[in-house]
Amino acid sequence: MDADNLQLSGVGAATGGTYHRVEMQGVSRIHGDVTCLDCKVEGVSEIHGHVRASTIDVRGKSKVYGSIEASRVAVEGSSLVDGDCRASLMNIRGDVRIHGDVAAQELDVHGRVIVKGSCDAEAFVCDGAFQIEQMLNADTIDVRLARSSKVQEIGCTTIQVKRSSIGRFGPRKSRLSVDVIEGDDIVLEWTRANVVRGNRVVLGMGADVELVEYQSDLILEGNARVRTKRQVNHSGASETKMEMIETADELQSATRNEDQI
Amino acid sequence: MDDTLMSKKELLERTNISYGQLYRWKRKNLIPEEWFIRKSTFTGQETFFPREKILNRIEQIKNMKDDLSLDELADRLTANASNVQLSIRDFTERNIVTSAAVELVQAHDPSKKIYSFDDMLCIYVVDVALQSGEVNQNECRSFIEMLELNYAKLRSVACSISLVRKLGVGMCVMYPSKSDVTFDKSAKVVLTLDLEQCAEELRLKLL
Repeated sequence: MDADNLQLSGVGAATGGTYHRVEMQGVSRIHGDVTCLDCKVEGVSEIHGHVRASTIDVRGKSKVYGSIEASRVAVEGSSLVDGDCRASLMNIRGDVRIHGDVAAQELDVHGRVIVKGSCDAEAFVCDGAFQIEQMLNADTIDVRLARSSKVQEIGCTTIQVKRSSIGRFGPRKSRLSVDVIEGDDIVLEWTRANVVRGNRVVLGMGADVELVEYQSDLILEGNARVRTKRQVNHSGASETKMEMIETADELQSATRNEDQI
Repeated sequence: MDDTLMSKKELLERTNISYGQLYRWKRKNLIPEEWFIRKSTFTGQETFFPREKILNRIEQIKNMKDDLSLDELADRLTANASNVQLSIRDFTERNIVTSAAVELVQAHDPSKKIYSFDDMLCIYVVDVALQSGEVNQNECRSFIEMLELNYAKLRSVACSISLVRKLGVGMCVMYPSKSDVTFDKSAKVVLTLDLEQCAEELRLKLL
């Protein structure tokens, strides 16, 4: 399609439409849906409509009052999406707020992401903080906490939560609060959860879990705390051993006793 | 329709799948979001699934995931008006429905050559009705007319369709499955079909 390019610079406004390239520089506003190949924003922008693009590049501050559908979304600065966001690759260096659901192949956040709905991804990487109101459903999750984070539920194959090594935000009190985490391979530090269910569960420094249900291994390190642990066998016979263990030390002495019997 | 639920835990035990697999299939829409039913139990919030549906679906996925990519599988399993099209010959050759049902629907609109999922659902419903022995051909025609006029409605709410007969005259009624419909005492509800369930059965047959 031989569509025109839309270029806004300085202080300007335009109507939406179908374009080849959309460039917004300065303080700009577009009214209406935007469909284009490349959308590049530098400065402060507002789009009142849905955006469908191959690539969206934001350097500055952008607000989209609608949903976004793109192959690649890169944000350096801050972005608000008052709708859903669907992309193959989302690369965020800064602050992104989405008032809907997020679905991506790869979601890479260096900063903060806030989602008012659910987040689906194959790979979820976050170095900073995140807040997801409903569920984070991802194949692999790699979190390095710089600030406190919160999500209702996590479903995954593998997850690793640690604290960011760069203490940019002063006293390191960052923790992840979750209600339920379910996955195959779970490694958690600085996480407070009600229930953790997995095949192999490793709880390290700062981990505080009410109930852990594991299939093959539960490893407690550092000052990890578990109120109740239960081994569950998912293949056929269900064998439940329920014990109250407070700290890693107690676990060590408990297993030592078992060996002696 | 089997309404019983099964817990997520029981599901994983029975089918021997992992959390990773379950959540991956959910992401790929192989297991619909609506099937994840949250309920409060004495141990807290737990998730349940419609027993028959989920067990069937997991069986299908396990059988087919080696041959198809998850995305292709998702397309097949969520067959709807937009992605399934069959010529009438394909439909009859695969013996999905009886020829009587096909002929009846064809007679209604002889010019139609390619059948969308909605059309196939119509043929399937007519087939089930005919095979039940309770509904005659004329009454089936009213089913066909009713469905053709109301495909859009089916997309927004799960509906059921009933044939009601009073004093020898049959009437077709379509209504949201969840609603409580009461008929005249002297009327006989000859047959009720849950269209959502019929669609599901048809999808299985088309796989």
